[in-house]
Amino acid sequence: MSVVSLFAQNKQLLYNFSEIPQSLMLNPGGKQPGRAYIGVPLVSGFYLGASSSNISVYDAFDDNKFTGPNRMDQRLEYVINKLDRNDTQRATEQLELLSAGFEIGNLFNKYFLSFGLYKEIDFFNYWPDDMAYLAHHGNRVPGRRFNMADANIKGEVVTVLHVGLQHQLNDKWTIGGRLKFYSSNMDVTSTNNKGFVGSGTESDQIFNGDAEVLTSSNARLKEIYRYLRDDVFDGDINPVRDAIDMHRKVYAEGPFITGNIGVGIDLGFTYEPSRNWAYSASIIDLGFINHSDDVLNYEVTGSYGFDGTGSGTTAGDPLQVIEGDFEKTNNADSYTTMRPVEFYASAMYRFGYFRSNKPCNCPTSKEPPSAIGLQLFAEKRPRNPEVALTAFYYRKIWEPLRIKATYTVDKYSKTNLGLGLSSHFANFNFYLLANNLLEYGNLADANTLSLQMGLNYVFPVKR
Amino acid sequence: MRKFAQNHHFYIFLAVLLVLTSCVKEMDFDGVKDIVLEPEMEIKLLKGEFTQDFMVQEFEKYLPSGVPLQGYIPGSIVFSLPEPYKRPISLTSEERILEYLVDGTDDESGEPTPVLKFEFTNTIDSSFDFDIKLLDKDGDPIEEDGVEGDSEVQASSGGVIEKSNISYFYSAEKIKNATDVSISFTMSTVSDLHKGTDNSLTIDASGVFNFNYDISNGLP
Repeated sequence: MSVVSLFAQNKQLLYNFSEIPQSLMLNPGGKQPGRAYIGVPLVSGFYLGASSSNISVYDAFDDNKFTGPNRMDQRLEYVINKLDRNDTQRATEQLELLSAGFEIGNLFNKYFLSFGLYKEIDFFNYWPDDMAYLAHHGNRVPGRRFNMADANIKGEVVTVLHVGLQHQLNDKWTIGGRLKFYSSNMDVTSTNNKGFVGSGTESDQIFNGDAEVLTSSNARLKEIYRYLRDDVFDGDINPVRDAIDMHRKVYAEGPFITGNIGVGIDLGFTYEPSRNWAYSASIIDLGFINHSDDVLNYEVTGSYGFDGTGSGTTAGDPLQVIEGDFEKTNNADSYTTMRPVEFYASAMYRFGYFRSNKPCNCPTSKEPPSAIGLQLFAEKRPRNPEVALTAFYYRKIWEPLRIKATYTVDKYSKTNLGLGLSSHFANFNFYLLANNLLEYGNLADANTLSLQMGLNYVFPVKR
Repeated sequence: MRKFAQNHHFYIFLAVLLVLTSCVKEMDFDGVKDIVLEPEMEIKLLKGEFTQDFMVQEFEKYLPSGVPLQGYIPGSIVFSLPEPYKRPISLTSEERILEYLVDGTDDESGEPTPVLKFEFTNTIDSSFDFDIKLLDKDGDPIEEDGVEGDSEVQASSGGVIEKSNISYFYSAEKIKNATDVSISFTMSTVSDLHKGTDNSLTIDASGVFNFNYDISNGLP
């Protein structure tokens, strides 16, 4: 049984945006949004995020950048030269199917129970630097060994059922936790490859490798691959149309729950030592999925070198030839994948008053309408930990409208400005959160993008 | 401001539509199908080290019966191995590799590929003349499309290292039929060759091969 980690995306706009009920998914110990809420089914939460470090889709596919009959060769050369093995390409999509929460308990011992169901697609890829160079150029680089561990890719579709409990211990402390039940609808994992290809005459061992691709719900994966190969690739490639068709296949077809199941927990807290200051932190998706249903793992092992044994030569033979084995095997051994562990933390300073338009000009609200702060996001990754730092400004412009503006620095962008809107009218909460706004002139040129929106009905807190 | 607050849902929805419809400049995704991967691989195929001790041993093995063993090879004689060394080339048995092997050109030298290159390094005081062939599964020699270089390496006198190299050019189709390599040589000694020295003849052989994978032929 092998254990593999997955990866997720930073939702810096949603974190601490407590008027939006979905913020409890990032900190179960956050402030409750109201007395109760119901997410409008299928539209309460949609999240789409994609990132590519060091190169954008536009960089690689701009129609005007490379010309001539061998323009694709030039593109490939450009991409291979620009990226290295620590560059990543990733995408995440979440669709909330249902979501709700309400207060339970009595006046002196109140809890907020929230629960829901969502479906998630995750994809990540470390750029296979050595393998890409090998495939494009070959191995005629003196002294270079081409590392097979560069091939590192993971994709999964998961259905998640969750239930969370938040409790305000006192005026200062709020804590919470969430239990999650996962069902993986499809998984492909190839993150544990080892070995190398040697460079020409420099090496007595030209190849030594151990590659594996773990899959569960293998029959579904094969359907999707055949669709990509025969319908998408063999026809005209239209990213929007093909993406819509893919979504239909992934979401609407196949079993809802499979035998690839797991559990996980989220934990979080908020600490408010004063009216103005608030600190919070959370750990999300501490869990795993065990894959045992329709598992088919592909393994390829091989070793070619001079070892003086085998049918061609004997030890001490003055003439030795390259010999070896190249074996491809399949097995149905179960394996375990770890859910992406994320860490959020923030420090926030709230200030200001709403002023009445009456002659007294007195404050009309206990809650300060403005806040500034810093947020930290971190996730564990096999090669390097990934962190992001966000500075934010929050403002309740009007009772029906709140905004949050962010500036985030991470591996993908140093110019990531985001804006979130949360509107509250007739108890309906519509929210729209989008980052990297400076790239909206040409979305394909962005190294990172995310968009989240949804519609909830929120029962306000009784005053 | 009041009007905006009352109708903000509409304005937000309109803003999203406007932004998303104006946001992607023209790109050439169909060009992905024009990608052709053409790696050039250099692979070490065989290596040999024939020590002077080994030569003396082989020489004495094939002396006619009745001739006394001297423990050395006399100078000024010519000796050929009675049987060539025949070894399998295991790489050519890999169908998944051979499927993509094509005729090409070496990026470095401009020579045609596939090409098998042999380099000889000699510190024995004897010249060697090699006869190298690829064999098919029936043991029949495969005729090369071209030869460049010298199959003979000069005798090493006074400690001077003598080198020589030779290249054999084949078409991709002929390489796909090759299963074994056969190496034989004839040595012409200059001085007596005694045991107990570090002298040797080494052979290093590698192949340069071009492969072609055209994505427009479809994904695997």
